[in-house]
Amino acid sequence: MQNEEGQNMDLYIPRKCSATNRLITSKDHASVQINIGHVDENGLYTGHFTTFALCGFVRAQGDADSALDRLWQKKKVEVRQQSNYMQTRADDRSSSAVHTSLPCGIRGNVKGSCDRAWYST
Amino acid sequence: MAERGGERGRFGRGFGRGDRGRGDRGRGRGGRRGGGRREEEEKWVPVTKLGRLVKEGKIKSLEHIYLHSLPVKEHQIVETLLPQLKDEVMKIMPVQKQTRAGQRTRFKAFVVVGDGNGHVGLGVKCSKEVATAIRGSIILAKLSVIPVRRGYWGNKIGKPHTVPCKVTGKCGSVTVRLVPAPRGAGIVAARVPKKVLQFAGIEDVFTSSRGSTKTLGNFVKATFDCLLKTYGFLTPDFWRETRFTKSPFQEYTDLLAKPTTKAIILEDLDKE
Repeated sequence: MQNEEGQNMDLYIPRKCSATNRLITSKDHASVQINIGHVDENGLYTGHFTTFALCGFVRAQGDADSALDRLWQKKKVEVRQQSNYMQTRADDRSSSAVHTSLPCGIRGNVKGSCDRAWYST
Repeated sequence: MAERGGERGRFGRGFGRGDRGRGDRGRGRGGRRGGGRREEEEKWVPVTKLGRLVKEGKIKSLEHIYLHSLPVKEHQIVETLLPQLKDEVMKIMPVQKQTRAGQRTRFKAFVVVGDGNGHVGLGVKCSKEVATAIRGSIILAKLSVIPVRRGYWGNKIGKPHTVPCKVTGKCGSVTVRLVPAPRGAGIVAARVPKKVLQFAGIEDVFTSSRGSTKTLGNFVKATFDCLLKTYGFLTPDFWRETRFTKSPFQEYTDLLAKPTTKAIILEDLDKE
């Protein structure tokens, strides 16, 4: 919230759930932030990752798994495009093959409960 | 067997009549500080990861903890990050349990903590002695500190003074509704929620309550629930897409991996 002078008057800006767009409150201990690590075509972690946050409500409903799946399907395309862009820039310097597909794995940073997401798309 | 049960009942009832007087006397007024003796800062040895990070000074404000919705399990974390926290005992309520040998009375303490600038906490603890109950509830109150979002009624001049929107909280049968008020209105509320709202740092607000507000426990919890919802209400200011930051456990994972105590080397036992 900004006042007329443009100063930020909020104590903090809360996160929003990637699936439902709800605000994640400070006492939503069932909420979770998952980092999905990007992997090159040899299966080696590149060091980049995508972050998603899920609120406690979605996880309690049992929709977290499908939500994460859906979110990643959308994000995968963007990540591939970006990676191809980076690769073509690297190609100008080196002469390596162009990578087309981009399988990815998850390095989960799940806190709280014991569900672990081990996907591979 | 039936006769003995009847005897026990009569025995208990007799004690009950005698004890009721004691119950009324036990009800204390708010504002009493618990325990004059204050143990000086014993070295705090953090037990949780978050505690270690706070002790090291890696986490500078409570807002960092709120952003990642991390559970706070050590009250010293809050004490370190909010040194100017004040507390107030709302009520000492004696509660009784019927036993074979009469009533067993314990005291339930309701304590509100706050810094008057956007942070409140509420703690409820029951114990055999009043002082223990108060001490315990202060600790629980510190663990439950929440951020309170404040906003403007009209023009956004100066600092926020009221709630950003109409919010309502419910506990038991009591519902409390907070409505934004113009500057100078003050806190228009009953004694109990007024205390909580003062601790939260809200200057002007209109309230409306429903249900059995006589039950102070539920009344104060309903107000607290209401304040918790201020940062859960999606207003257009929060429409922008979230830029996720690393959680402190991820950021400082190397620091946390270091052992806290020296490694204990076990002596090799002689094989016999």
